[in-house]
Amino acid sequence: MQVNITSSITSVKTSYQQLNGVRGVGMIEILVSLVILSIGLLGIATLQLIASFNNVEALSRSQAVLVAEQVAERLRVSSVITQNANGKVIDDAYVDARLYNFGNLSCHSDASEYDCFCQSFPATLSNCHINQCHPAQLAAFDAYQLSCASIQHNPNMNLEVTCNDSNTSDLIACSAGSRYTIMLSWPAAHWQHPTITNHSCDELISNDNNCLLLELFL
Amino acid sequence: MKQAGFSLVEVMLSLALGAILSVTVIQVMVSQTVTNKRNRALASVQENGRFAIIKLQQDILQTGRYDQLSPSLHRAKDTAEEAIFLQHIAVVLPATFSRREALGSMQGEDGANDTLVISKVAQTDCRGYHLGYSHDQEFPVVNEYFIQDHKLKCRGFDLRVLRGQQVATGHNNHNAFTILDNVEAFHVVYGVVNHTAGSTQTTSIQYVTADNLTEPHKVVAIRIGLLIRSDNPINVDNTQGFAVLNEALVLPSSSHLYRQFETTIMLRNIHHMLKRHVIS
Repeated sequence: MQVNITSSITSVKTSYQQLNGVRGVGMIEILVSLVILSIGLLGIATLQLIASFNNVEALSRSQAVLVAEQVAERLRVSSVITQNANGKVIDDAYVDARLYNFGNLSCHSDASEYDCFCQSFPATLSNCHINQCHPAQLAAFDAYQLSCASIQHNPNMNLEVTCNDSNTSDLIACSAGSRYTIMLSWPAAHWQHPTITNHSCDELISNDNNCLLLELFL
Repeated sequence: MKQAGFSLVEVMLSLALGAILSVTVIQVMVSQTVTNKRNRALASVQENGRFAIIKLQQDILQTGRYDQLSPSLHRAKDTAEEAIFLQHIAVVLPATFSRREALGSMQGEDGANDTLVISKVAQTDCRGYHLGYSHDQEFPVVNEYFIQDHKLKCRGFDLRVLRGQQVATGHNNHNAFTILDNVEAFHVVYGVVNHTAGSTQTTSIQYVTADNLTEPHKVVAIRIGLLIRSDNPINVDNTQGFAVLNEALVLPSSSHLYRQFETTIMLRNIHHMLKRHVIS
């Protein structure tokens, strides 16, 4: 028994002596590790931010697809067969850039474009819900409604309808067989630099934009 | 054997540092959960909206379709007469069929939801039922879209049954199937074209509601507006009102996420037949 106790005391002594050689972690070290950890946590927070930016971007894009499809459909509804060429044409007003994005309307308050123009129908336009609309009136009406649809979820969305005139010698803006381009563009969300510039939409607008293009023959 | 413990200051300091650390982590977690909830709501509403729009588009696009030359058309009835009949009621108005007086496109009063009824030739009705025909046969079908308990529903009828030419089979008690839940508003307007005689250049269009629709065979376009709500409230302040098509502005009352979808569908069949003066 005696022998056993002595040996156990010796073993405790040895381990204590070993412990005595180990130093604890200093205050500075803990603070430094905290700083490093917090940098890591900041990274997680940024990740979250980027995720929601991407989400917004995806939503803008799918909204733009719906609007572009609607523009194409409305151009088709308004198209008529020409008498002097083999093909369909639409009223010149459809490619009048002033009619889109409320260029033909003015707002007297500081309210957003949506609140200003889209909450109620503007008096200066012909309302095709109430009246019979001629092609030019319908073009203005369609342009107004489509502009409202495009800014509904992304207030910076821009809508453009242009055409590549197949016959520049006549007076019609888009002769039969012209290629129509429907473009929806919106400012790109910045979270990293440098961003990749998108040539198809930055050619026309000098900002850093994302865009959706739909080309169409009537 | 003298052991030195932590001093009070050391314990307090380590506790404070630990607390700061755990508060930060919890904060990140909480905001993560909130963002996640919102993102889910946004994604699901967007998905639902796109689904409903595409589903309606696919069906409505064929409104007025009657291909007399189609080899799979069921020809037990006079197809020439039936084609003319169907083209005149491509957009069905109430009181068209004596067997179902109420069946027809209707405008909801005071912002209430609309009903859309269209007819075409297809292999199935909008529920996927063959209504007694064999699986590869086409028959004239009348599809009805309406809202019940905030659900977009649809059911189909056999045109020949509605006209009293044969007995209804395989219609599952005219049960309507739900296409989409959480639909707050469903509105439809009809683009009616007026060709001025003698000239193809001067056409005028007016978008009217179903109650103002007097010449349903002249509808060349249908515009649909949907207001869709998220499954669960996500604590957003809904300050923006929604004016679906020509309806009055509606401000959402709950803290759900709302999103408005609209589309225009040109009825190819009617458009081309009107141009060729097939329908008059």
